[in-house]
Amino acid sequence: MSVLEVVELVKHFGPVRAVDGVSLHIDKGEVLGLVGESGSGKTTLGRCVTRLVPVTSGQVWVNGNDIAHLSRRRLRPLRRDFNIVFQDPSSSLDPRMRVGDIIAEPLRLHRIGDRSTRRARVAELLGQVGLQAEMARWYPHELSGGQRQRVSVARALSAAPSLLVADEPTSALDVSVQASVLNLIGRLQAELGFACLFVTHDLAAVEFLAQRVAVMYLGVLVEVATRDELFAGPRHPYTQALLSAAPLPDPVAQRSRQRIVLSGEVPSPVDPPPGCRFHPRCPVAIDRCAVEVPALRPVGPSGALTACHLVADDGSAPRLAA
Amino acid sequence: MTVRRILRNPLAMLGLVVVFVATVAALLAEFVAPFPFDQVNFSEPLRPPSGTHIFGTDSIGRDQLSRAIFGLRASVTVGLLSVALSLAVGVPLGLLAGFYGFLDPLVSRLTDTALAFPFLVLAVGLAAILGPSLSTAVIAIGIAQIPAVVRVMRSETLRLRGMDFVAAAVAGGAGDATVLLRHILPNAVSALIVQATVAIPGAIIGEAVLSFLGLGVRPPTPSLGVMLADAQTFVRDGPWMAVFPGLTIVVLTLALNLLGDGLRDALDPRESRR
Amino acid sequence: MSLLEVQDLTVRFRTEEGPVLAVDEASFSVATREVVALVGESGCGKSVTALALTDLLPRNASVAGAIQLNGVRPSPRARGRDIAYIFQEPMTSLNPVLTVGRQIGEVLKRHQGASSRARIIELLELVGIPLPGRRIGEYPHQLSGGMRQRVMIAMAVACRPKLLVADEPTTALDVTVQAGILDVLRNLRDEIGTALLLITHDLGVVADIADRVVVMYAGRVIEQAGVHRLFAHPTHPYTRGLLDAVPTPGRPVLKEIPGRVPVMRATSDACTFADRCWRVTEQCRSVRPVLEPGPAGHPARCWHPLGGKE
Repeated sequence: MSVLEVVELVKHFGPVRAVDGVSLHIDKGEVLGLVGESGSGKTTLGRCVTRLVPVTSGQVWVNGNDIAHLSRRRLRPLRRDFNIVFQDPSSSLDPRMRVGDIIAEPLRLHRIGDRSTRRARVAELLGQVGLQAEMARWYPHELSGGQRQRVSVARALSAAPSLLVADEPTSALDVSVQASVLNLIGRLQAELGFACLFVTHDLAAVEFLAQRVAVMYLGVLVEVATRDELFAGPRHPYTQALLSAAPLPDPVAQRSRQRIVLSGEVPSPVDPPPGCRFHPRCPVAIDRCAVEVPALRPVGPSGALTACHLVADDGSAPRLAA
Repeated sequence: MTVRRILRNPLAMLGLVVVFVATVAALLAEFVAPFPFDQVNFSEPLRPPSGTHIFGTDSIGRDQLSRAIFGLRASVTVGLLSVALSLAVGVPLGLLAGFYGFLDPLVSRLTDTALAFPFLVLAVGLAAILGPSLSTAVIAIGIAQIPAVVRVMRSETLRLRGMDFVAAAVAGGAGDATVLLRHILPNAVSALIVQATVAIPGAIIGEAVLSFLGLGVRPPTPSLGVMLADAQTFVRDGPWMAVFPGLTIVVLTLALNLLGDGLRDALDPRESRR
Repeated sequence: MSLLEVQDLTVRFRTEEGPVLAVDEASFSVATREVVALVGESGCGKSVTALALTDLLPRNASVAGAIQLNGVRPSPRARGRDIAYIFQEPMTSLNPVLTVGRQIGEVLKRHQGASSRARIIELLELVGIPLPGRRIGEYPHQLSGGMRQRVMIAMAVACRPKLLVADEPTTALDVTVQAGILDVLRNLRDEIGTALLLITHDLGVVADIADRVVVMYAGRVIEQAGVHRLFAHPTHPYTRGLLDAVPTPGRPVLKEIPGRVPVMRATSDACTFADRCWRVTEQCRSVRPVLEPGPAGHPARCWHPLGGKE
């Protein structure tokens, strides 16, 4: 059974159509990478899934409960099941609280255990995220960025949720620290078996951590496939362009590859283009793309999903790089 | 960190020392003052400053220095109590206005209205109802300072409620009370301290004004404002009667302002690191 | 002969927490038409080095060492004309109340005494801004992040600097936009012959555009080499650690560098990486390593360089 099932989720901020009809699911123990550039709505989707913002319409099923439109009072006990790690650890930890109190806050709010068992749990969590137990008495400003992000992970996991949303958890960190945080999330996920929605723009991180990948563009999903299938043979033209634009840390490979340079910029989500939202920038767009919205449909033998008129039912797709 | 920044700032330290000395003197006035404030000496009226009477004497021979020290007590009392009153009312209002958008227009219009209301009219009205006294001064000044507190608290709440640590608390299962009292209020304390250090000298001047006009502390209880009022008649014959209470007010409020500036710099690293 | 020659650049800051040695005798050079990447994590001194070159350091900094441009010590005026600087965040470095054309025009007037609409349009074309005739009258907020960065570049190259110093010019941008900006920078070199000193932490960007790489750690230059050589034969353990930390498919666990970049208070007689290094010996803690050719032939500041006999 899926831990998370999102059905036709819509989130509008006034005229801004940040998320415009997204459906996806994450199974138990699975990491789904949600990839997109700024303005794609991926962060908003993560905040809708954790109900940090109200949902305009659609359903968000977590462990069989639709939390999309629950009142805050009814929602609170269900929050044990899911939590979130934010991008910037310097703003996501309360500067006036000690690390131990920060990590124990979900336990306290859900009335899990008493004072001494909570203290023991904090020590256990600190160990799990690779920090010393005495850091429970420290304040966030005494920690490095990487250590703060570890505290953030420990807090999110303290009530043992079955779903973790990680919103760009490594973007604010240095390269060597990024590696340690990715390792940490990967190891904890394997040990504890929670499902994870890993929101990021970092394709290398997704390829490292996720089993399945969903690509978002201007509020909608354009492609969903297993990691291996997506990175080996992206079908949607946007996915192809995205993969080709991310530079590889290898000068030989990077300088010999064919790059697809997209024209223009991501249009405003206030007034997204009709038809396929990518068609104004798509190098292979045809007339039909400008009028008919392509459905996200299964293509090819594996059941990967693509929203493109030019991808055939057997999964064959136009190749952009000549 | 904060303490060290204050210690390194000579002007703020000077302010701190003056405020500390003045407060101690006011609290221990009975022991510090050379004479009782109400000791009349008709043989020495209107004496200029001398070794015995450093600030001189008034028209009925009372020691002006002793009266100023006791007067400080009224200043300090009004300063602290009126600011406490404005915080007690303003902080909850500001929190609610900043956090619940639907309350914001109501609270904002109320504070605008209060700001538009002249301070002296308010004080005269209150004095008419309650009678002139120290408490009247406290209430009048406290009410007058509520709008500033509401504004500071409201803007801090608006800023803090968008921070990720608040979202993280909500994700962890926090209700509004937890968010407001455990996360937003403690992080707004710095801004409130700064607001208080600006408000206290204002309150001290306010007390002097009200007492001068006879709307606050009533003679024979000394207050710097009362002393100034008494001095009016004798400006020509005993200018020291006006000069020294006036100087005391100036020095005390200046010291508080220096301390407040130092605190603001120390608590807000962005301001100080230029 | 190299265009820019930096010799023993040292930058100290006086701070409330005591002195900070941000750059410790850094030496490197940039040749004409060369793209040199200055690489390192935050706290390595790479941005401070860039600011020192362009004379933009805050007042609590003191600078020592020699900077030569074309073999001579540049006057402040020459420095402003010949070395241009591009910031990371284009929105905060553009004046929000002036049009794009006006801002570029002012740079032209300041440095060349005159500006013309044709010249401004030419500059906008050079940085790949479509419909330059229309963009010239727009305000910064009407442009996307990528377009703003292009405007910044246009302003930087308006008076034909010999060297462009770009501090993380694409970090705030999306990858599809970044690709375009990197193309613009490459074009500048090819079309007007500007050399580029690129400050970045992104090894993908380095692999894409750099000719040569200078790696900094805790204020010191610890390795420099041609881009192919550096990626193929990293010699300093820190460089190796940086390369291995990039997520790579098929690797179950990423290589981590334990610890964090130290804040240097004064020059030390040890290797600054000693506390985080897996090859550390007593020598590393007591004798300052020198930048000398390692087993792969290019200079590295390490007593136990990789690639030699183990």
